[in-house]
Amino acid sequence: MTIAWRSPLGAVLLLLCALSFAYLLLPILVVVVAPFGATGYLAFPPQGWTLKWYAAAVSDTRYLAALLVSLRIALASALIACVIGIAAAYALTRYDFLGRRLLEAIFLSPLILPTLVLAVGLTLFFTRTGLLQGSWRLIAAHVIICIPYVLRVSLPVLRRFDRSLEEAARNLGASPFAAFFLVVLPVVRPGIVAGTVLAFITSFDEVVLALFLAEPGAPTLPVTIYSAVQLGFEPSVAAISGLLVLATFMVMLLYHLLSAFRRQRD
Amino acid sequence: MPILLFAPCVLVYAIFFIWPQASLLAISASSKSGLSFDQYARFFGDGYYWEILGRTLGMGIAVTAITLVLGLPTAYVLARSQSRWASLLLLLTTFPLLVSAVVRSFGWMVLFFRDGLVSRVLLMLGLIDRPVQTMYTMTGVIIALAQVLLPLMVLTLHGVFKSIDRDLEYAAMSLGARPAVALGLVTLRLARGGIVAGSLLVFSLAISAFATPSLVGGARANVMATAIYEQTVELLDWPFGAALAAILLVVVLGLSLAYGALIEGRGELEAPR
Amino acid sequence: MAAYTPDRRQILAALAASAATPLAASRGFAQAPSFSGRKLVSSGFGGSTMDIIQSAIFTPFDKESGAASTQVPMQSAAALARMKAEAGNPQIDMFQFSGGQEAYAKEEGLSQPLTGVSRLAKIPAGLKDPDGHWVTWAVIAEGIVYRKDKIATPPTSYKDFLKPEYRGHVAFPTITNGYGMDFLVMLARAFGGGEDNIEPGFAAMKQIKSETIFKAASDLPTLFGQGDIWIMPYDTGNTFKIQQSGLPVAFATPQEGSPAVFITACIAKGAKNADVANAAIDAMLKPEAQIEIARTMRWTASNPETRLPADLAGEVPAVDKLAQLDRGKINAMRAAWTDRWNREIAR
Repeated sequence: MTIAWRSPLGAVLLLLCALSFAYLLLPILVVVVAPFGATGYLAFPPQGWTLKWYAAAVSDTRYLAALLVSLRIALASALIACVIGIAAAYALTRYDFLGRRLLEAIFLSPLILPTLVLAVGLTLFFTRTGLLQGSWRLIAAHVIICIPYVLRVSLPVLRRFDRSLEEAARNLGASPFAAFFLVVLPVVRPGIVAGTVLAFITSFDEVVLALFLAEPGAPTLPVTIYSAVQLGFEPSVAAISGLLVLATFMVMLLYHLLSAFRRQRD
Repeated sequence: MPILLFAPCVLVYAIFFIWPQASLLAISASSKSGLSFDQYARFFGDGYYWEILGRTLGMGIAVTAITLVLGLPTAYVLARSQSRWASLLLLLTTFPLLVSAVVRSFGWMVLFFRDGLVSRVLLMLGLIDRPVQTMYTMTGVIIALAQVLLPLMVLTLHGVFKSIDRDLEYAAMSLGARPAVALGLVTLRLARGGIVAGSLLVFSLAISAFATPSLVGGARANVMATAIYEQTVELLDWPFGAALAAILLVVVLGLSLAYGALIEGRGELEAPR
Repeated sequence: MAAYTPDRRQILAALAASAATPLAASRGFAQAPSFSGRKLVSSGFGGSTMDIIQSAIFTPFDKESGAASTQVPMQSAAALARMKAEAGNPQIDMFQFSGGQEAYAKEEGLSQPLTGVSRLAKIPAGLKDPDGHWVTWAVIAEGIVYRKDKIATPPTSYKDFLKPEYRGHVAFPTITNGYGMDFLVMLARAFGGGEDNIEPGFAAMKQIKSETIFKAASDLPTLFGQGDIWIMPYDTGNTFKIQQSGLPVAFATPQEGSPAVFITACIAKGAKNADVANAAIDAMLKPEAQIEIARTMRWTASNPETRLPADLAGEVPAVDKLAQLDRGKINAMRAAWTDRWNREIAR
């Protein structure tokens, strides 16, 4: 421990940390709890008590179908973006050349453009060229907005990586690939995982590109939710998000407890 | 070797990003009589659009500042904590990202309206003397955006703090530095790259966000993204919509390059090798 | 949608209504071509509205024709943007609009004339395109929605929005929401102007510019439930929905008239399944389908042969009682008025 959490500085850090969690989780709590209310609109604290909105969310098969579509597209987009992005990030940090900064800026620029602009540009492009079919159009679009996340998160970690370790491995006779997979990857893995997780979540929650490019008849979950509220909001829509949060929390908790258990056993 | 590593990324970008966006850009700079910068003149000759650009950048800076102030301590505490719950807490920070932007906005709506929780709690604490409405205001947009972008800041910084050898902090303190000084001089300086990356990530996403400004901000929180939506979708004025997007892209790319060069560039001279 | 299950009396009434036009009904059935194995992709309004339209129109149509119809959820403006972006090679065959987008689609050459829609001839001239590019299959009545428990005497005019006692409790939609545009025009009409003289509309709106301005219908229940809002300009369909969410709201027809909103259908130029789309649009104009829509959403029928059961007729205004706005003029002025509105009202 470098900073005693009980020192004044430590207390301030802990306080800010606690404040962050309250800020991050309070609106989520509203979304999870409010659909238990009996009113036909969201209220917090909820008025009355009912399970009908959650029941409606579970029994609507469209949401489940849309969830599966979203998971499939997010998984494909995140994996492709991860492989392509890490390769580029590695090259960006290992080699210096003219225009490196500019190339990096271009790679990151899809983050700055509102997705609507990307959506219109891509729709025009796909219509004119007839390139790609079905859900691949949306996956291609999502790869473009996912790569910047992978880069943003993995670049600083790769830059901080001590290059002498890799050189040592090479000097000991490891091939560049072996050096990367055996020496670099284990150290920078947290950054890569974080980037891929972010890419997954980004694709999973993206609505505008999906509105324009999703396969007709196979809308993603955000599109289904977005369109459900267009002409009126029902608490069952919030219940969908509530369920997603609760399910993710259960999986995370289970995973955490299982791995803690395994660690204890070892 | 480097070319092979770049190739997939460059290829994907060339086909699915540069080409489509360049053709859209061409629409913004053309008229029946050929090359034309009328759309750009329309933007720069009108104080109303300057106001929108200014509001957008102001929003981006405010959101970045909030996420930095809260994100730095959170990421640091989670990275240095010995608790076995730390990793679970880190994952917990990503929860705002799990809730669809639309639904998240409805959550804020419940809190922000005049009869909502925020107004009632502030009244109870005696901080205000009559109900306030945060819904449909810029303040509401900033609060809502910072909440959903804070996880990105925490995740980016966490990775960097984890990769910083804590022995360096020990070393600084054993040489007599006070914890605050050690933290400031050693850790924050070493985490500089992560701070830049996190700020640019949050800033870029804040200024290009559409759903939150539109849903939480209502009609009055006009920012570049909502103006682009209005031109492109509601009015089908694609040339002007594309021009707005191009202006936003150039301004932000310029700012990012300058910011990155300012902090990282100076760092490279001093960085221990 | 268990709450909407028709009782036997309503079914009988619907049957009686369809029996009143036996010729049209039987001819329509006899001519229905077989589209088994074919697909139809239409844009849809999303949410429960889309579900109701699916079960009232597309499900029976699919059963009868053998086609498989899906609706892609998109509100009208985004649907038109997608129609324009996919011009020439559309992914979506048929479009449903609610904000006058069909006129633009025709003008830009994005749509194609309807062919073989047998019931098109029955629709009054004002409700369809003279060249047959689009047809109105339902009509929504706009007016004033208010909290019954807060406002004792029902509002009677668009002028009521300026009443000092409502200050701080008024909400209205932004101009890019079609209803916000209509509100501006109706305010202008109430104060002596109209489509040709919008000035009085802007003058009146300036007096309430500090009131709550919202963007989408989705905010309505929360505005009435938590936002302390008593009065806003909206429509019969949403009043019905908010009532069902348990809030004490009512609809009032202003003396200036309830503006009519046309729900239209048209076919994308180059649509792969244009023949199926034509048959589906014909099915939308069936009296049985229009009665079902009126019962479940309080939308007015466009086919004059539709005979609503007595209990419904009182709740759904007839087309000829509604105020007609000059959509051509409004469309022409849309960009200019939106720009002015952004500068003068939303700032």
